[in-house]
Amino acid sequence: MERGSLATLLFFNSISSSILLVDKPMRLFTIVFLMSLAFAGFAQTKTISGKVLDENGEGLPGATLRVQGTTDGTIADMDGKFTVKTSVDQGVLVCSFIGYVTQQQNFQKETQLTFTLQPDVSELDEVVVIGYGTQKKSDLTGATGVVSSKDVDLQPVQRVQNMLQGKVAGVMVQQNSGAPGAAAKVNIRGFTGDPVYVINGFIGADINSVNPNDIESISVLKDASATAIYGARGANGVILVTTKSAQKSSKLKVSADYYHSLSQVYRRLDLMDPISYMKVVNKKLQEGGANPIFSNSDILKAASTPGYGTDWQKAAFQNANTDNLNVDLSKGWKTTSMRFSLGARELSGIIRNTNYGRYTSRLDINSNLTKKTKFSLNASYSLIKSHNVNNTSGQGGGKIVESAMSWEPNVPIINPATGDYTGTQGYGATVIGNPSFLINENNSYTTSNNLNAMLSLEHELFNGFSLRLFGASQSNFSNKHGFSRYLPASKAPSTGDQSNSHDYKNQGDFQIKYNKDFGDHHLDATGVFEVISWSSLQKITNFTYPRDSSETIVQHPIPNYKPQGMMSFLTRVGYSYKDKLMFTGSLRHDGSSRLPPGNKWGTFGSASVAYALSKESFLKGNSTITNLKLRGGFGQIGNVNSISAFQVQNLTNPMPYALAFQGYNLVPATFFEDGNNRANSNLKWEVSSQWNGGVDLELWKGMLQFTGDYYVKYTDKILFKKQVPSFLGGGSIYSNSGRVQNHGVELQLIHKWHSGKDFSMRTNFNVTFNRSKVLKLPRDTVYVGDVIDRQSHVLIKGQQVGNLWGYQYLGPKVADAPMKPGEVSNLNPGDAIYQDTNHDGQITIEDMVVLGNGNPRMVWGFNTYINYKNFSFNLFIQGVHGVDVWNLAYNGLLGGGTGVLDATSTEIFKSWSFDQSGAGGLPSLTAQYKLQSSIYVQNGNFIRGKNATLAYEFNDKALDKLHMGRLRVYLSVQNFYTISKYVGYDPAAHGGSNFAPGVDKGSFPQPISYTAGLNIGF
Amino acid sequence: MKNQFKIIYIILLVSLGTGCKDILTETPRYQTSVSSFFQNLDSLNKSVSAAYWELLFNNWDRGLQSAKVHALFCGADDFTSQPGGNKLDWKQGDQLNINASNVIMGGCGWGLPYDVILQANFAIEGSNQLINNGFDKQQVNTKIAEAYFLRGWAYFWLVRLYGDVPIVLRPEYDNENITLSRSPVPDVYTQILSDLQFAIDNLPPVQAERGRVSGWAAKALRAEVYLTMAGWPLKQTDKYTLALQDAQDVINNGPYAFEPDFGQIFSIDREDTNTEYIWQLKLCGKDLCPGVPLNSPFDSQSTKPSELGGFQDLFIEKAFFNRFPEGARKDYTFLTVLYSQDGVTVIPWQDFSWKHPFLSKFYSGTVDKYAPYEPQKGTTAPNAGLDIPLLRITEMMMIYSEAQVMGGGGDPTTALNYLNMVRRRGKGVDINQADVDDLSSFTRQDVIDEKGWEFTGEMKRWFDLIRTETLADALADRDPSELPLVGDPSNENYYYLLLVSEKKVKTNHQSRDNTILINGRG
Repeated sequence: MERGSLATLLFFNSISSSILLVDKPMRLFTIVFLMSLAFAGFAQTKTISGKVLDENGEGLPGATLRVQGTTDGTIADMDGKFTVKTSVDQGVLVCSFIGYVTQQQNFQKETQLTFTLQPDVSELDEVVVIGYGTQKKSDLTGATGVVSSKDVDLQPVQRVQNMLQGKVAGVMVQQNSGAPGAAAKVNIRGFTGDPVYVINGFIGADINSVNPNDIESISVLKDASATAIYGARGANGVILVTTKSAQKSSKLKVSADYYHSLSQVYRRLDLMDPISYMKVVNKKLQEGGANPIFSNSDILKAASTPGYGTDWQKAAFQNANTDNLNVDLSKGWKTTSMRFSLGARELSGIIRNTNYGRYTSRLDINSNLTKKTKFSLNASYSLIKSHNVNNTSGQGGGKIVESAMSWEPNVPIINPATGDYTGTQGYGATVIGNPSFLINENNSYTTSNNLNAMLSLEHELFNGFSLRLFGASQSNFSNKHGFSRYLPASKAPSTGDQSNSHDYKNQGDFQIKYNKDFGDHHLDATGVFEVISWSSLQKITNFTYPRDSSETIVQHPIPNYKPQGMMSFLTRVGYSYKDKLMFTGSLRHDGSSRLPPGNKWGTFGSASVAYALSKESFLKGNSTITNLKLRGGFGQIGNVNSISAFQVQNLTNPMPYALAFQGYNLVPATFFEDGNNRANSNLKWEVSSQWNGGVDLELWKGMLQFTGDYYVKYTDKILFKKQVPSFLGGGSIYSNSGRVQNHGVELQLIHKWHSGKDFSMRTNFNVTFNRSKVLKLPRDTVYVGDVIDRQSHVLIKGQQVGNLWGYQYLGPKVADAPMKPGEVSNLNPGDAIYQDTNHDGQITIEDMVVLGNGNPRMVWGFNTYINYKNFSFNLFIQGVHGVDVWNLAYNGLLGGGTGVLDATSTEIFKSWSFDQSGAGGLPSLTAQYKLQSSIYVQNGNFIRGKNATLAYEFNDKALDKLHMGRLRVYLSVQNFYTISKYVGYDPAAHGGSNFAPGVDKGSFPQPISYTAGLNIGF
Repeated sequence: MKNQFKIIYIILLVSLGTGCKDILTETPRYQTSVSSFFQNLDSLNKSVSAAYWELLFNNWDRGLQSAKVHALFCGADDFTSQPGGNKLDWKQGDQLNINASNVIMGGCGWGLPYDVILQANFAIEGSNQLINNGFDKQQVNTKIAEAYFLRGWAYFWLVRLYGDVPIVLRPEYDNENITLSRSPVPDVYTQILSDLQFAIDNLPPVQAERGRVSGWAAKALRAEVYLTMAGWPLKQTDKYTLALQDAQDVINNGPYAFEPDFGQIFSIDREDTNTEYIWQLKLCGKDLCPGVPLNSPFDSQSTKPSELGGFQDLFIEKAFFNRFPEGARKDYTFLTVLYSQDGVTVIPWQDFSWKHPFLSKFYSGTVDKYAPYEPQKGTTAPNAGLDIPLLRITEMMMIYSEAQVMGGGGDPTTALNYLNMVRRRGKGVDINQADVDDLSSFTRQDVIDEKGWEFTGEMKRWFDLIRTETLADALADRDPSELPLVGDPSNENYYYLLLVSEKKVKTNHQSRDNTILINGRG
């Protein structure tokens, strides 16, 4: 590939295909040129016509056809069709095209031939999108992972983040919730925070409003040498997303795909029947010295009443449906190309009364204004409507999952006496509500409009210099309104809320590039000046509807306004010698509004080298090792992502409706900040430094490709939230303290194989190991996470990040059994034995120990595509290992929860109360089930079959009859099998922050889904 | 070509020119920075309101209207709780087994008063700014005196629960404040008296709004402070005189009157008109004051049996109930039977799930204990908006009686009469007519007992037992069926004060210390 065309590509931000096998515009020019030659052909004797198809069965324009041993030949046209006139009657027709494996077919009597070309397995010439430009894969010096649309073909992914799941080593994608439209958590190289998404050059654009169908490719910049170009934004890795665009000089193409899925909860928990439940409630009361609540006649009556009580899991879960439709239109003219797409996705959740709809549109226009000036526009509008998706997870709102597990099974949904939902009974689940009430009567509707536009203008100056102006803007308008009905059997009013939020983000870039060859030397330099501004404004109105009046009480709390600004100067220099030795260096000077005057600016840089051993003479031409490259790099990046607005100046905290001093008139109050926004005027940049070493190995012309990387990353001056002493008002304050080391290994193996034209397969296996160690802390231990008895997680110098912290449960106290080591004296039989770690004779929070770790040590993905004739098959398996989860919802199942007094799970029969030998492992019913104890820490490892799809592609004959360009049908199943020891709906469904991970408060589980779909093209 | 360059230059200039400096500065839009907040009396008023608000946050786990705050006082002989489940906080309190790691109790005992102090300090700092900026000193002081009162109240709360505590007088998070040590008890009282003196000197005698502290409230609180100083641990018996003088002043000159009917004091219909209250925590049920934690689970939900769908967090110790003199006050204070819809069934407390009488003193407005219980079952708590009394005129009369009998001067006949008036009202007879059960003479124990019955659930009893060192006596007749005591109530070194549970707090002498961290907010 020519350097010149690479340079064009570097500028062509909006030419979407980042993994172009060749430079498509150049290809099209060649076609036009050669076709005109072909028309001026000679008279010949035999005519062979046919079609050249690519691996997807689409016409491949520009392929060269030549009759072996002659000069007869032609070029395939825009549809891939060709006609060759030759003077020989029989021979071999050779079809070749750059980037594809050359194919030969004999002809004798045949006058019709079809060539299906397979891409040349060597992908070294792929062009990869990197920060502020593109680079040939073979020239990469940093660790970069790539996912293209073909890697998720036949996998009905719901969001862009899911395209990355299990595909790229070093990228951990955890889908922690099965709520409709829920985003997955993405971490790159350790659990340090959210990466930044760069969509077509727009930094921090909203990824959730992007339709995965519009995506051409995703590049993941993993190591600091690659991400340093994004400076302060790149500390947690950068995900570069490139959307699809049309080729120039291509004919109008319409394609559509549709699928429908049916989803259901993967497993049900084993809960008690109403009669057993009533008996256990009674037993617990009597054990505690109280009177039983249910009389024998109550229980007998219940037992003889068919359908007594309610199966709350049945009441909460449903079979859910998903419809997904995409339509694309694309066309290219000589100087301009255009693609327009529409997408609609509607789904209901497996929890009743939850819905989500995403409607997207995207327009992409590229145009050569003059020979040297190019213009591109990429605009999108999306509308997301959701209903109750935030009400359903224990990680936030409505606690439906938790209540469905722990609400008393002996009561009906509707209380016949009142005609209303059954309310709190004084036993069982006293705080969380009746699941059906929560599902039906707490409604929240969110509408989010996202408008996004990017414009770029590029101009080639002279002598390798070029300029680029880039402007991008994103506006998001969201509207949420909610209504919560008064509680059953309550005099309380109903309430409602209405919230409007407006978020704006603008980015302006001015870039200068220089790109030139000097003999064996190649130089490539980029300089950018960039300004980004954000603002977010949220206004909420609260409504109260008193029961005894028609008057509505309206409250307008103080709007939440958060601005942010960043200004940057950056430069990158790339140098290569004979394509053998490559060097990349970058420097970025960032200014952030998040930091106080004097500390606003930081300079960060990186350097990396690569050495292509396979270009050396001793390996050149080696048929086994076709590529061998060693890479190494170092980079330093600043980070302020964890700080929100106004952390360097103390603001007052106004509350317009605070107190009633007389009657019911609420008066305002203004507070000195005592929460989590206490200011620290000495904040500095958090700095992470990363070393990376990697090797790329390709064997047998790409049949086997191996990439391995080792990294070690030190994050310094980490912005920890430090607790302010309660005697100074409590709350927390950010301070730069601490140092954490992440190191890990990423391995990726790609295998490709094809036999003739009928069978081919492509398999990707990748595995990531990561360890995060705390090297320095302000104190020996720092507690993080939500408070249970104390904060749920601990950071200890010298230990792993993500440690769960709590009481070690040793088992139930058994009569006459010898004291266990660490047991306190004076326990009664049936009591829970917790370990007295400090031997002071009592169990206090000083006895807590590390109970596990919520960050996985190893994740892997296995993804294979098998094609046989017209059939294709995909299998995708994911594994997560070395993770422990706080199953807090399980606490409710055992009746030990703060709001749940009585057990609903059959697990409770393992209690001492039912077997005084203590063999079941659980203490008596009345014992203290400490929530922050090892009773609730469970192994969260799992291996999950994420996807299996079988597809059938109709051949040309059938298509001609149907007057279609393409037709493919498929059947698939997602999350079809999970191997796990976890006692709960879904081992993956847990939340928490990176320092306090692995907390399951009753999360929305991921369903098993059965999908049928089709792709059509005209 | 030239034109293109022109365009590029123009765009460059525009993009560079548009406030590149501004973009790196965050300017708040709906909030103000702390340094520029105090502009007028209105801003001062708002910051004083913040200090009040901290008394009420949060209604579940910390505020003075929460049920959890009572866990601090369960060690007295009046309340107990369940042996298991989620009632650990009350159980620990009841068994004299509060360890420093209890987050909830750390929040109620330690976090709440210090939050009040933070906001009061902020307001006081602002008042100085306003005076320096030329605002009328008298006007500013009248307003800021409320913050001084609240700060004094907060330190009084702290010193009684923890003994030595750090004295924080500025809101800033800075090195000087972080490194504060615990000041000895006498110094804390000096600070309390100084704050209350400012309040007495500057507050209006009566406030137009009942929820605000007044000059009389400050004097009433000081009477309580002096009475406490006269007892354990300071035992400055000369303070009885001062306590008596302040109480007498409030009784004789304040606009308060002893209500003739006990039940009327706690009726929701009269919470703004009864003549008893000197200072009350203004609550407001959720339907009338939505979105703010001005409601009280303690009022009814926590103190209801499961037969009414209550949480039954707290109920009444049997010995205390049995000792409690019969009459109108006992009937009003406790829920002892439930009436069924069928008109026949009556469930006595022995047949309640937890076999104890319950506190019904604050049911007004939510529960009708004389109506059938079934339809009331499951009515949820947070509607309760009945005000919580913090200072009542009856308490001044009792302080007068106690101080008088302890040698604080005053008139013995008046003192005896005050005690008898309270007894008559408790019995349900005319407060002004001599009664057969009237005492002809009395001891301090009579006053302490009477206060225990009169103020059940008003957070007075624990402090009375501690300052008079009678906790062990009060617990002597504890029913054997109650939760067994873990701590020894006669060992005042270990059970009269809570453990300070904050690592950062330094000790400079014999304070009890501990090294556990309390989270900022419950």
